[in-house]
Amino acid sequence: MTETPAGGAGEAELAAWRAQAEEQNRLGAHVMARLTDAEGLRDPMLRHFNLPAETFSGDLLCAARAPGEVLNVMLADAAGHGLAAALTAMPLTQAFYSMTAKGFPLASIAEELNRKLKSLLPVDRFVAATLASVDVHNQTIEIWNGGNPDALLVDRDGRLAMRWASRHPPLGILPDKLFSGQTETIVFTEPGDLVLCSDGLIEAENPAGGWFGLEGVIAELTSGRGGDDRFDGLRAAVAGHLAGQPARDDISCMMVSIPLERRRALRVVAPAPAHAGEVAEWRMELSYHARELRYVDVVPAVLGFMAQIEALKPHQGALFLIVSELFNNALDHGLLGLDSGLKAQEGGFERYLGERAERLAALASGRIDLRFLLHSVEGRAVLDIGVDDSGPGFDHAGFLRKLAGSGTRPHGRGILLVRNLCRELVYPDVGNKVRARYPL
Amino acid sequence: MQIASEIDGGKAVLKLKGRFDFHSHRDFRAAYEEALETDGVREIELDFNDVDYLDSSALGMLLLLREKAEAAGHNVVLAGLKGTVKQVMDIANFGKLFAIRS
Repeated sequence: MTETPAGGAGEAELAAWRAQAEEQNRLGAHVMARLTDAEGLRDPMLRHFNLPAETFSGDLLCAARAPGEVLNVMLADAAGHGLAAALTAMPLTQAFYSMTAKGFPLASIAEELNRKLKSLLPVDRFVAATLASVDVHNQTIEIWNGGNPDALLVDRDGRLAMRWASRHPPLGILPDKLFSGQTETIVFTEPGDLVLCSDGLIEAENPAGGWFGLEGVIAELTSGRGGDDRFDGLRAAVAGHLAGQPARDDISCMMVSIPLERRRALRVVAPAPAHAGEVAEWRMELSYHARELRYVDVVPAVLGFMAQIEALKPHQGALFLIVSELFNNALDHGLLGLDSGLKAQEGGFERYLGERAERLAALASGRIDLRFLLHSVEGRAVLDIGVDDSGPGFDHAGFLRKLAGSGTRPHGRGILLVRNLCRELVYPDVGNKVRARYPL
Repeated sequence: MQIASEIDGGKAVLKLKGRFDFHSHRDFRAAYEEALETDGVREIELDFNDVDYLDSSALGMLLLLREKAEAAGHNVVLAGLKGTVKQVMDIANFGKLFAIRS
């Protein structure tokens, strides 16, 4: 790791050189620890470990809640280990956290991370990464895996329920136009543990040189323990396998314990009215045509504008849910003609997403207009939200009647939530226009 | 890692043997640079039949070769992938970046 400086340096020079290296290590470790620590890593759904092969780990773990309680996690493994690897992975943190906070879809986050690394790293450096988005409310797990071992889902009874193999090259290799952010989503109907790991776990060697192996990981996870015991069991098994020897590569693992809370209402509580009095008027109108709808992440863009407005800031979580629900309804049903009924069928959600991606890529015409007006009504600050699409509309009266009767179907819950958050929700026309009034 | 080069018309074959890791850096670069500079060579085939391990720095070296070869208008082909080596290549999806010959 360290070489003796050439030219017969004296003792004093060597000592000074070593002291300088140690100081650099100390500073590096301090900054790295601050940069990589995040509140999100202490999420109650999450357990993790990261055992560096040297002072610095080239494995990077990130976790944060997106708007609407969705949990996003990332396990990234930079090529090599030590300081160089840690530095390689570092640019990922900021983009991951800021895009997650703004509610960008996983595919867009993966694209941005790749773009960032591609522009910063030399050709022979790259970062394998698994990104996961766990939505307990909608019971979905979405994964993008580029270069990491299989992501695993183990159900409560210790059965391996799903594995997501690496489908992409690692981040930082492909140019933007060849990169694919395509994710794989499943609907879960049972609680379980989602496990992500770096290849250091797979290649952990026992004194005889035998690897722990992916099969070793799976055997340990499915050995009958659940929850915390399952995680601790895996950790102990790796330690036992290494038998006190230092690891050759960084070893990291994340386990997301996913509950099943089918009937639970989403915990989005509109904050206490802080702006009960008069507000200055603020207005925004946006129109997106088919061409732009195909690639723009409209909801995070809109939320980005809103986040600038002081009065709206504390309401971001609720506004994200309302805007994404109304916008996605306009796009999915109004313009793309998708039927939510499909989601209720066996494997329907996956088919729905596939169909949605296909139709969106082929969308040739249509538009969606969004209007926002922040103002005071009868001395109370409200945000009026209007979403219009150019589609044919739908039987909104029948829809609202049916909705009143059922809260547990896989579709329709989103709009119920919007209705609970807003003072008014009306379809003033044939169903291709919707008006919501959100009290601040 | 040991490297044996054979040039056959427009094709240079680098037969790799042993552990392909960080320590192979200089030898590997010297071998492919020689092949790239040989007149008439259009394709570089890397024969992995006798490679028993490769790590991520080896993957990095392959990416460097790929860039240099592309700039010079050469193809890079990976051949003889099996066992652990094939697994590592599959996980990294290098089949999307290189031509693979079985």
